[in-house]
Amino acid sequence: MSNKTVNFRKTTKTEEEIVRREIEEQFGKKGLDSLQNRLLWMRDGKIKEICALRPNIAKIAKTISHNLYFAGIPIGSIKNDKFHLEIEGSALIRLKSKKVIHIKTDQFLYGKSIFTDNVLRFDEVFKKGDLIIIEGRNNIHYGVGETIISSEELQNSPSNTVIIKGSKNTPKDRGWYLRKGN
Amino acid sequence: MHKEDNYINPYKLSEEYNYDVYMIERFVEMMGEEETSNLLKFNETELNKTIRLNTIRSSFEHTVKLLERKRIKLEDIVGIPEGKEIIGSPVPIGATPEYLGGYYMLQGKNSMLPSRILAPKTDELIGDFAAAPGGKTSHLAQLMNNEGTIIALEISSNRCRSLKSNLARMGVENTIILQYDTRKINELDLRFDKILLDAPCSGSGIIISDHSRKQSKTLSDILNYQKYQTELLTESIQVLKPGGELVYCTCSLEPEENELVITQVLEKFDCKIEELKIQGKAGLEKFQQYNFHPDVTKAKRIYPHTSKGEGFFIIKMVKEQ
Repeated sequence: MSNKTVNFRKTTKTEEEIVRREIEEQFGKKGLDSLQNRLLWMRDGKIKEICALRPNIAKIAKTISHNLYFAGIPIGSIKNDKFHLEIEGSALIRLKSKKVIHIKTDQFLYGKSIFTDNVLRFDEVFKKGDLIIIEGRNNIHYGVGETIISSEELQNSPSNTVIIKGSKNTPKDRGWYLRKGN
Repeated sequence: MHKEDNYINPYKLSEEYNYDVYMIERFVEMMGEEETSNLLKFNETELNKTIRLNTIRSSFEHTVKLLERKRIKLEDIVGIPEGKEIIGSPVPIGATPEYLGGYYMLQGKNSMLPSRILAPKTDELIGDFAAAPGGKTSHLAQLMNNEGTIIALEISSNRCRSLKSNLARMGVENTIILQYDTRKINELDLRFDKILLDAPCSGSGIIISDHSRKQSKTLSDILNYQKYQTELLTESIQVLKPGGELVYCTCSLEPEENELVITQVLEKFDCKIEELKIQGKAGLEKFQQYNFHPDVTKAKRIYPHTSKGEGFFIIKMVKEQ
């Protein structure tokens, strides 16, 4: 019954720097503002999950951390010293950031790629290899993805060009809750 | 009602509706022949799906507008402003972008009652014991505006995973999930303002959505649940602050899992039972060999056929100062 392989703890200074650096590089100071009044903790098991905790939650979590399964909101994970932003982390950042691409297809929610033809608009320019928040119609948050081409290239690419590659096995799109969540 | 022409024959009914005979006999003893007949008939129908709009993600008005654009027909649920009944939908309601975005939760309408009855406040420490899959936990978080603290206990690792997933999807930030046996909660140094104990049960109130329950549980199973539920409630009351409130509920109609559990706990602890102002029948005074604590009649038995929802037993207890 006990979860002996998992350790729920406050992130180290190095881990916190890895997370903050990646968010700032991708979403600027505004992106970092999304972590204001939240502390970073790690669910340290097979996957090193990062979660954001409000101070009142962290205070109690400290006293019962040895029995803790999870707390706060999961924002991503650290792998090979790199922070990988995930669904809820990007939803949190969305509250402050306008680095968003709006799409007209639900295919991304099935782990499928986004093509040039699927794009309705984007709110900020982006470079190749950038992280960008993805929203569907009516500004519904769909997740986060890494761009394969820049916003400049997007405007001159054929309609079947992949902009963001989908992934069925990583928590990047909200369809993941149906595919793997339960 | 024992007239020859309308006398209920449990054996005949058990054959007609595929129930174990003992269940029919108990229903008749619990609620009478006419109500039993209505319950059995109702359990053969299909419930409309119901959803709870999640204000952590979006306002009621916005979500309703988005769903109506999809030609999903909604109706209000009396007494539960955040609840909506799905009258018709051209799309699968459990896979829309709004569902995945946590704008709403699929949740039975009567299972929205316990969190409302507990009425958690934004600055309180709330315990939600046996919390997965998280419908009630996320409802508590919504009623608390995602503030304060909820400690959600779940003993099963798999169920913890689905609890975590649902809470994340719904945007819940004020919850700590412990994979922990509620029967050991006293070992943690926590004292709660309020506790919701939606106890694991035999599920005879939800036969309408799980027909296997007609034959899957024996009387001995019910008594095993009763023992476990009494242990859970006993431990729960011990970690409640003086003056703290506890809502105990099950989706079972069996008196052993409800009135008997409460009666046994009231023998050990000084608690007051609050009268519930919701629709439903009063808790039973007696059943078979059991005479229950008189205050148990302040509980509510919500029957599927009268509420047009899943069956529930709900009671609110206040620990004396």
